[in-house]
Amino acid sequence: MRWVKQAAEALDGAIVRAQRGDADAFRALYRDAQPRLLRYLHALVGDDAEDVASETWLQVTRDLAGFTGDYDGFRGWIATIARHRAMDQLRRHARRPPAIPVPVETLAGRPAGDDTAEGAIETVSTGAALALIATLPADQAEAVLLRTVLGLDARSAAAVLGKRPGAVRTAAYRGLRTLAARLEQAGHPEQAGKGQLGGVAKAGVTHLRELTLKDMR
Amino acid sequence: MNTRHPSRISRKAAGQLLDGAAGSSVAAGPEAREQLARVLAAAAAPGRPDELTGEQMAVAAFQAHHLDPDATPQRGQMIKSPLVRFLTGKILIASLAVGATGGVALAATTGTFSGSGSAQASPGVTASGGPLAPTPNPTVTDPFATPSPAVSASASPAASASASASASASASASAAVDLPKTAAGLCEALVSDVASGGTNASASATLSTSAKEKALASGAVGQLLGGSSEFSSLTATAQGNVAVPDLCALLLDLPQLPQPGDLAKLPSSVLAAVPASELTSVITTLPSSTLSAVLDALPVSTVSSVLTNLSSSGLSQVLTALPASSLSQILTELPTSVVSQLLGELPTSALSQLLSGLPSSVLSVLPTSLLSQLGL
Repeated sequence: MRWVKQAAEALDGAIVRAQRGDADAFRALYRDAQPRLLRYLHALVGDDAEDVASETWLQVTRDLAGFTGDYDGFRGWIATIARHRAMDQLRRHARRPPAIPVPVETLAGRPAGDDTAEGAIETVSTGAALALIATLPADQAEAVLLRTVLGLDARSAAAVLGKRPGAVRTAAYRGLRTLAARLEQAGHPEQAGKGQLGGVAKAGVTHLRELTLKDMR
Repeated sequence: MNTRHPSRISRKAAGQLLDGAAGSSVAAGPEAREQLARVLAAAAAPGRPDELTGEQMAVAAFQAHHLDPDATPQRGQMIKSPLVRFLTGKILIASLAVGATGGVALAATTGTFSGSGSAQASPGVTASGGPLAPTPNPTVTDPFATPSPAVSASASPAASASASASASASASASAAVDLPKTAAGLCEALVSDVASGGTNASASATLSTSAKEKALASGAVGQLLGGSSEFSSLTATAQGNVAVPDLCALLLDLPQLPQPGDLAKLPSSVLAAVPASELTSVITTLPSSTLSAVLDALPVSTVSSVLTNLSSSGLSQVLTALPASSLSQILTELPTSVVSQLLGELPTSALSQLLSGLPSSVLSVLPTSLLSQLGL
């Protein structure tokens, strides 16, 4: 795991260099953090994720000089900014449902119609995984995404969400328990009807469409 | 009998999964828990090139802020029109490869990440295998792990452009030397040259946005491009001098250029690379002459996709705006089934008006069911 530590330390240094105006350092931060942000934001604002992420980076650019902390702290900081901007976006488009984040047929990383759940799970794609997580209630989905995709610990995720760490641990735990149950259903269609991963994702899209500003509070 | 009890996942196991540190202990657990670990690892898999299409714009905003803090775009200004969004996504990344800004930019055109090898490119199957979680992806930090001295602090954009091209993906690796002269850097130099009458290549960042736009709109751009090999890579990227101002306007994040109407100036090969869904979203905004030129330049398959993606009102608007010659060409080139589908979406009155101006040679290739419907 030494390389992991070195990588984290390299981005720790990148923060300091970016604060001095080093564009390459900023670029390195962007390349690591932007995919995380986009995946998190997709669960919040759907197709507006790119726009909200752009606004987030603008604010990061403006406020970076005042940031203190390491790269772990940086991820928490930008997640907080991104969440605020996402809430702004949801206010602007009050109760407008997010667009479908991932085409259903791409969810399992294989052609639509191939409903072999075991195989789909074996080769689960990032899009499929995110769509599955998005099937969770909003608080659970956010907790899981902040903990896994943003790589935040429970305390940092709680700070982003404005909740207690215990509440975030519970939400994430419940989320994982639900995901495990759904995966089991997907793996056993004879017990769960046509509950393939794609089917779960379809349900998730429906669920995600119901995400509103209220869910984020 | 089902012996799996994944939903009985313990809090401790959940914490381990979330921390991504459980590794083998999770892999040894029940099957569904392994699947859960895979799902979490996939969610945190390394960034894909299509997730980094806004990089150049973000970096440009960062550079602009550090050169002139007051010039940082305000919130909302980074929300791009469909045109700018697809151009930045599909075309600029290709241009970045010319400027050799780094492995990820290069990867955006090839579909693979370079630099750190394939070991990190595939998402891991254990909870700790997803490089996004919970620690940084080594792929993206590679430039820092192996700083390259390949780019010297050259004063000449042309010299450094060739240096960075030969240095390939490692060109942007060094944080200690000058910023690599990317396509954006060449554009800055071009703008600066134009603004100063070709006598001074000092930083164009001191120019206001409007001054940069004015410089790019100037006829001097063509002269500079034609008179110097300095900008040859820009010309090559834009596939000709004409599209260079648009390319630079996008690279420099200028708000005014290009207008949708300038689509027609872009080379057909560039247009063809644009996703049909994006073209569809801008095509109804084009003036008639541009619309005609754009549709003429596109491959038949793209035209087919664009037109079939349009709403029936949008389709009606586009088809009626086309000159008869262009419409004839499109109707005769498209497969009969597509023509039938397209025209079938139009109200009879609009269809009748549309077809009345066409020569009989075109009408003869149309589906007979349509013609009989119109009494033709």
